[in-house]
Amino acid sequence: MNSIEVNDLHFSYAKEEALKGVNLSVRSGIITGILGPNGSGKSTLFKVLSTQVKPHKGKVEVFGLDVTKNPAEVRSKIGICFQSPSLDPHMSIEENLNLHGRLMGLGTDALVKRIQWGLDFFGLSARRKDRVKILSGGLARRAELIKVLLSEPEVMLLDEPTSGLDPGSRLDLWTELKKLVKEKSMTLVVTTHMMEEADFCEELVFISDGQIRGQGSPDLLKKNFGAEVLTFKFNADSDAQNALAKIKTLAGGEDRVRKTELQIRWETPRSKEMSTLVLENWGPQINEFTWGRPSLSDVYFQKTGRSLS
Amino acid sequence: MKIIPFFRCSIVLWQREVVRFFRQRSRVIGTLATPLMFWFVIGGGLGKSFADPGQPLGTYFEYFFPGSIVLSVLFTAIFSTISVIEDRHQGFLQGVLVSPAPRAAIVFGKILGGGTLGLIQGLLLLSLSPLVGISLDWIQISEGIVLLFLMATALTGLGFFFAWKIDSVQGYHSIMNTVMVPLWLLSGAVFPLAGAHEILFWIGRLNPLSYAVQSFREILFSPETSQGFLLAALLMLAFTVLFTAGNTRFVAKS
Repeated sequence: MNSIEVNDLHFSYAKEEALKGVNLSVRSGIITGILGPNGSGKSTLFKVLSTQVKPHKGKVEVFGLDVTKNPAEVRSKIGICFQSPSLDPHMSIEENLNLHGRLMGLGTDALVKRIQWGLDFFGLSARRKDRVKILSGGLARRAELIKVLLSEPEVMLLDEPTSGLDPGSRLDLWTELKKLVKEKSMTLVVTTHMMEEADFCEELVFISDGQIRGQGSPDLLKKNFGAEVLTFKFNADSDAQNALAKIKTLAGGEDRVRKTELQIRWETPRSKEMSTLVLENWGPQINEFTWGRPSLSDVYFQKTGRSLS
Repeated sequence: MKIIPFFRCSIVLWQREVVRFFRQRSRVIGTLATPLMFWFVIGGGLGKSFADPGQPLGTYFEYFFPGSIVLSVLFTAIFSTISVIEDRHQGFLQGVLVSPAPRAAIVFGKILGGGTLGLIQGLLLLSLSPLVGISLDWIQISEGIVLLFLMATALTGLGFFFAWKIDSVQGYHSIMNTVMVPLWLLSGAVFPLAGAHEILFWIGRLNPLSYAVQSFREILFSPETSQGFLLAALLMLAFTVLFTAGNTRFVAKS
């Protein structure tokens, strides 16, 4: 079953078209990552899904509800965590949660229970009286997530949730998000421009220049890559240059060859044959050799022609 | 739209306005000290030069007292609605707008908050009325409270309208100086409109705040002959309703 259906979505800022006919289905109960560089259209897609802006063309449905026709109903089913903080820095965590819980229509009993659950889940019970302005980035982000979870949304939209966090806090947050999806059977849609976060997702959507360039599970995307990746690190640049010229003559139409400094990277479906050939010809000049399945970065590059961090 | 969630939403936003106000001491002091300073400086400075040609109004110090209170209400409304711009920049507003809260409840909560703060500020200054020889009875205090509150809500509604449209605090301030301050100057708060140039007189007559200022002055100084309270209160209420409805439309469209 799908939570979100997007059909032929268009959106423009003045004369610039940010979304150019996006088609997308988001399955329920899993983490879907929307991956793209800055300016790819992922934040605009997020704004449409969260009812902040209306589509200029096309149809967007959340649990069968049209975001244009039923924005209030859609808002009651989704929880949104923005890239920038949305809690009042002058108020405590608890005051903020009370305020937002009320705005979500929660009654007193339910609100007290939900706040306590959230504070316990994210380990913030001892800090409940602290004003948001004194919290670290990681703690403030957790407080944001509690706010989003107060109404027990069926779908959570997270716009670059780990933005500004150190690697340790990022990993902790992802661990908590995965636990949450498992415990609550929730649907999570996460935008990110960090490839390292893509592996946390069960489904990935590649977006570039306002268009969806690929969608599938990380394993499937890697499997469908259609090639394996060979890397050869040479001792000297002259050796790498000579080898590159020869490899380019050997490379087939679907092969991709890139040279960065002393390293040549070759994506080819004929990996066994070609690696043997290169090692036979330049073996002594090669310092390091790897042979493996493509990474998600490779898949992203193949689909969009662009690199991610 | 369900009634209970509507008021729940409005009340929490109203509560936030009040809590934030008292947590920002500089704001409390600024909105209270500025009208007081105006009252002492302008009231004291112009006192000797000022003479009303038509009717005996007492000293200018006395005349300017209700105007100073209205100024404090005006300042409170301005500062209260600046937070709309701050909330937008800090992300808080975005968080509120993606909640299922009714748009009217969001606007109403904000206007209610501005109204409450304006009333508190106005009452604090009103407590100085013995300094100008006024002793207020409960009817005067009740009418004063109603009028101050409605003036504050109407002005907050107007401030909200501009704050929603304007993206910078600087821009908002310049618009406020162009719209709100003249609204106050031409309300009879600083000088009697009866003796002003004909153009100013007519602008003053068209200014809804004039009726509230006039009524407030009557409540303080001549309660026995006060006649304009109901008209002034209804006028301010009408503007509050108008701005609440209009602002709700803008918020819903965004």
